[in-house]
Amino acid sequence: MYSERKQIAKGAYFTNIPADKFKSNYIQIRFIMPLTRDTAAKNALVFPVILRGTEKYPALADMRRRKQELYDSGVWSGHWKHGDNHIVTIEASSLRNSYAIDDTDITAGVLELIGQVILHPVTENGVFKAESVEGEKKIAADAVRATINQKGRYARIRALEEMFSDDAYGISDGGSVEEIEAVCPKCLFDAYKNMLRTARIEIFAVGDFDGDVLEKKFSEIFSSVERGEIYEPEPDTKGEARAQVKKVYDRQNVTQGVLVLGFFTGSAASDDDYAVTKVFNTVFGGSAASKLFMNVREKLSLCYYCSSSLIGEKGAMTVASGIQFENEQKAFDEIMVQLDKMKNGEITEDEIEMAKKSLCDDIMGIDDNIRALAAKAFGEVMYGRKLTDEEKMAKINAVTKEQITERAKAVRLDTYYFLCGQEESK
Amino acid sequence: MNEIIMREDKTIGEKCYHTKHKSGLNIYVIPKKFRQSYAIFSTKYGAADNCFKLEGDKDFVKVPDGIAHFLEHKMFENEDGSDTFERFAKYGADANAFTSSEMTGYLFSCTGNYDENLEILLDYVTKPYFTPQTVAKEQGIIGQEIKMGEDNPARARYYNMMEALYADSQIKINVAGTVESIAEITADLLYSCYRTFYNLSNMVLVTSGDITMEQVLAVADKVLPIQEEKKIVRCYNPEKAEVNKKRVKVKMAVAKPMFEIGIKDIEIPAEPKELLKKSIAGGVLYDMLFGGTSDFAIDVYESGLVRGFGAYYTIDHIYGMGELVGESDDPEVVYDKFVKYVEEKKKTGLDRGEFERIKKANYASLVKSFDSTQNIANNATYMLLDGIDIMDYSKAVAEVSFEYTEELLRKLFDEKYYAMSVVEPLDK
Repeated sequence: MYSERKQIAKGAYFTNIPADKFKSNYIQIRFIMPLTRDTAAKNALVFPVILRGTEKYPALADMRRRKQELYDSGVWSGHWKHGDNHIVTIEASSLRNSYAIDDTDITAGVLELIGQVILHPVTENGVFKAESVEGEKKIAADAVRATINQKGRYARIRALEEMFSDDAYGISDGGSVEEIEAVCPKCLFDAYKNMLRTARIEIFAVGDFDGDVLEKKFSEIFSSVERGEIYEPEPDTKGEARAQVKKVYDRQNVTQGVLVLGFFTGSAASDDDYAVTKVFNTVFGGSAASKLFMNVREKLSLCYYCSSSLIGEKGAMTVASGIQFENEQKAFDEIMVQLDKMKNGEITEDEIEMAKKSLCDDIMGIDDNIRALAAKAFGEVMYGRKLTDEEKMAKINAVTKEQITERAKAVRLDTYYFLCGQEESK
Repeated sequence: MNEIIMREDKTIGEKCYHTKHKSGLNIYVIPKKFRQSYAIFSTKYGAADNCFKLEGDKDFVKVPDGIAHFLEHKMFENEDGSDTFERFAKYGADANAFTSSEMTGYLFSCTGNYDENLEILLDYVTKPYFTPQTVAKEQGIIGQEIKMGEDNPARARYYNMMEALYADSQIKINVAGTVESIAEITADLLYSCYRTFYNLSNMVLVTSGDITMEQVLAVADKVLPIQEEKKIVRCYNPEKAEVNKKRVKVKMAVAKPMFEIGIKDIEIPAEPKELLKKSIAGGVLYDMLFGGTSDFAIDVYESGLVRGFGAYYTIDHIYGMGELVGESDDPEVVYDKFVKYVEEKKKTGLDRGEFERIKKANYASLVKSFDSTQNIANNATYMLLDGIDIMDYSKAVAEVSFEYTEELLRKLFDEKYYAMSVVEPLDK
């Protein structure tokens, strides 16, 4: 189904994914680098700064107007982590040329903009403009500070920070406020150059593109930069649970507590039998028919949400629930009771069937989502394994109750995190 | 027996089939060669409908805040003790529901077993089952949902802005209600709301995917009871044109002040066509004034005055308003800048070239929304509640005139329509 992944420069690859059903097209360029405290803030800031102006579109207004002329094409930058890797992206979502109501060549316009962003930033004395750097630093630092505004998200971020305090995965993919504030125009420009020189680059195009045209364009872009020693990412780095559970209480003026539990499952996404972990998680807390939802919420009315989710690259799982402060122990006990049931094999055939159906539905649904198709292709590159949807579903459907029980037995609690009110005495 | 009408939008290459089923339910099918099918079964009943009667009844019924949303939760329980989420899960569907001020929607998406899943959807929503025990249980769950909302500053900011804009309109009622108001809810009250608003003539089914109307009708024939149409009389409080309060401020655990400037608009065109025109022109106007390429947005971004700036215009059959949101160390400076900027624009007028560019962008976003069966069916539903057919949308965008949009600029903006809600950090 995919066209071949082609090398277009040293350590840079292009994958064209033809997809007929969409009215839009999507391009994603991933720069993959190690996640380190020293570089995270800088790497994340590079493209937001460049998106303020390039040689041809020097002012922010020029950039934005150009995108608008191209039928409001989105060209933006993102950053996140995949295991111990830092991924910085340039992404573009645009209308297909065939839907233009005039003769605008939207695709050509978008490619030109991408070329501008990668190769032709506005500079001043050989580095980024100080004004742009300061502006984006302020926005990024404010964004970090604003994580406290969303309590559920904040609690999860904090819990993972604590759980992975001695691990690269505990580093924020946007950097901390201090790390962001320390960035200077010259060091940011060096980070940009370093990214172009050393990052593994994976480009995915999904839609009705002419693959040859894109391949040629990206070859031109990346063969014009000097490529040095290229970073080789590891897909997974499994974590292990602490000997003693780490307990953390954060206090804020909140009316509801948020309990987040961090577990290690002993199983990471590159393991051959990771399908077992997925079925385990879905039965346990991964859906509205799961044990956690049916018991912590529906039976005991303790919360509005209680769910589990996996972090495949670290062999980890989190459980999160918003509860009354005084129900902390009750909710924790019930979550652990449900986990014990999984360990004791108290799992019905129905539960397993529902979980498998839900996971298969997810696998099938990817085909309808243009960005998910790019993410799926990235997964195939990262893990060096390309399965058809049928093969993936067969793996899910082959999982047995005994395997789920065995997996449950390997699950270890590592971190106990509770976001609670100022007055809570614990 | 049921006449099926096909409507088409050739510009965007989409078709919609409509029929009125013998049960009284309007059904819309938008075929799409996607793997994922999606269906949403909605009632025109939301948090704002707290006072109503059936035609012929003597007295209006007044119900507690949050009951429409409470009812939505309770629909998931069945008389035989089965759980609706589980029923769907057995066929691999992802099910959910939501309540807004104006509607309640029950939905699912699936990549297989469409007919079975549709049958479950039509079945459980047409079979209410409420008891004092299940009501009490839900008070605990929704109580936690309300508390989660109380810790959400964006939500507090929104409802405070609604309070600032509206003196009497029920549009400002918190969808989830309060812990106190939901304590007043009883099984009998739920039945009373259900019988009024879940009449099939007050509901609509919209579905999109690799499916046909015939397929949908076969399921509808099997499940839906034939119902007599009921005429609902809703009592919406009259609302003055001016704002209720100029400012509402609260303190919460946030990093920097969060503001929301509201611009009240009580001129709701009665004709769906006029409503659609105003809605599109208003959207284009807001994009011209405050969208990414506007002088205002670029100024507040480059100067660092506002983080996360956004501006939106909404109008439907109940209410209209504009909003400007963001975070700023000094919301009053943003407010003053906004007032001055709009006055200046009213003097200089709009730019025709920019108007055309933004109309194109508006068209592009409509076309792109057809890349997901969920977006298609949801958007079609929202429009149907206002009496608008989604197949008329792109034509209406093309027809919106510069003159009309400029006229809106002068009508919509006046200080007496403006209010601001601010959530301040605790230490300020």
